[in-house]
Amino acid sequence: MGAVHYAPTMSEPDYNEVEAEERRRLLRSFGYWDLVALGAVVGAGLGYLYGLAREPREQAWCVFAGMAVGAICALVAGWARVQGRARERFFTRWAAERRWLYEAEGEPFEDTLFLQSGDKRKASDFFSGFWPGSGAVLYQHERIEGSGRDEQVTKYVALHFSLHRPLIDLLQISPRSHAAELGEKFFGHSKIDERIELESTELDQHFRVSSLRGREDEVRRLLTPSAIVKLLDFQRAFPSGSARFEILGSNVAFLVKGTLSPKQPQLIEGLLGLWRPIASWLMEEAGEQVRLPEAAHEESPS
Amino acid sequence: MTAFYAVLALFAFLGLLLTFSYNRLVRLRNKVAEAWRDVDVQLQRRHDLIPRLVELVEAYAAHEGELFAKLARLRGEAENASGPDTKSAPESELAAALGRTIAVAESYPSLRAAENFLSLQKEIAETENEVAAARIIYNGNVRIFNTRIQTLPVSFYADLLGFEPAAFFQAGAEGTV
Repeated sequence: MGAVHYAPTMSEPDYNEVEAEERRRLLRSFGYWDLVALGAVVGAGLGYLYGLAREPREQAWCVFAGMAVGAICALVAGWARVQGRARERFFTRWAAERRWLYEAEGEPFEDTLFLQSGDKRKASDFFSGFWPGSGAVLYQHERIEGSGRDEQVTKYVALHFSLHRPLIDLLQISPRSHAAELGEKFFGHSKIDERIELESTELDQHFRVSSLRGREDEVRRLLTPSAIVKLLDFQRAFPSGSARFEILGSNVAFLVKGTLSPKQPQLIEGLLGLWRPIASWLMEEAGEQVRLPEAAHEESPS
Repeated sequence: MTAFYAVLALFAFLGLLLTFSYNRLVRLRNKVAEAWRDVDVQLQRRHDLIPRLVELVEAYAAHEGELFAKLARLRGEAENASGPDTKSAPESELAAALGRTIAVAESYPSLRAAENFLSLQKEIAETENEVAAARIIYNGNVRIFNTRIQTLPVSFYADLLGFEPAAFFQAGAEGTV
């Protein structure tokens, strides 16, 4: 889908209204009832085949059950389509109201180590234009481990941008979790072999700072006290998010665990408000002149 | 015999707990010391900027001699003080005097527009931010360390092992620049 541009006549959309409208539209459409009828016919056919070797009375039941299952499947598929379309329409209008751009589908960013991790990755709901000139994109990043029954999907809300010049070869600030540390030991990145303890006990309690071997001085130069305080401020405002920050050369990614939902769009603005000071600091460090605008609503998403 | 082993196991377990606890306290105390060194570095940056500011402003506002003398005296006092408890008061006064000096400088349009003043002002503002942030980190470390040694069961033996509460570094007039 193409980028959507601002339409000044739009009013703030309400997701429930958008969803109801889509539902009405679907029910009115002739194609939908065609699909339900087709589902019933296919179901009846399959039921008939299933019941061939049975008695005539059982056969009739199989045809009837097949018809019902086919029709229900078609109804559910239609319902899922309503949800998908309503989501896309809502986010498109919501983003346009803020003079942002929205794209429902796209390829996930894979230019930092964490964004490359996982067996598979998926991305959706791309928002951009909230910090003009910065090239920043906020989107839903899915990290998929394993397959089939063992498949584990972890959803992140990610912010990605690239600086004009590389800031540091690698800096990872990841949630301080024993499970995560153990996981990374087995599945993680062998390139990271320097864990750096900075002067803040609180930072150490929440985050694990790591970089390449021999880069401790560079990390310390970058993570000045005011930078540490910015990270702690984020952690305090959004304690449940397992926040993660990563810089690989000039590529920057901030992530928190979470799902973008049209029912809670304020999460996007809340996160942008909390991420802005950290992004500003990195852009300043990289010598960029971009001035990130204040968010309209800077509520804490926690 | 079984009772003897049970008591032995209990003592070994307690000894292990004490060792872990002691090591953790040492780590926390080292963090407090490290954070204080950081505060000290930022304060030294602030002190180093004062002569440059005085030199610049003196050329325009020679009649503010009293303010400059006070700035020099407070800088001396702050440099002579050591440790967070004794440094808090002179550093607060020094930050306030620094703010006043900047305000005086800003009342001279030609000085306010001078490039070297603007760059010095930016440097001072950055330093003040770093001082404030370093103080937040130091006080955060002190709070965690003090809570640890003042709560049960560590409070029973912290004193015996030589751990004493650390002093907070009080907020001054930082951020006024």
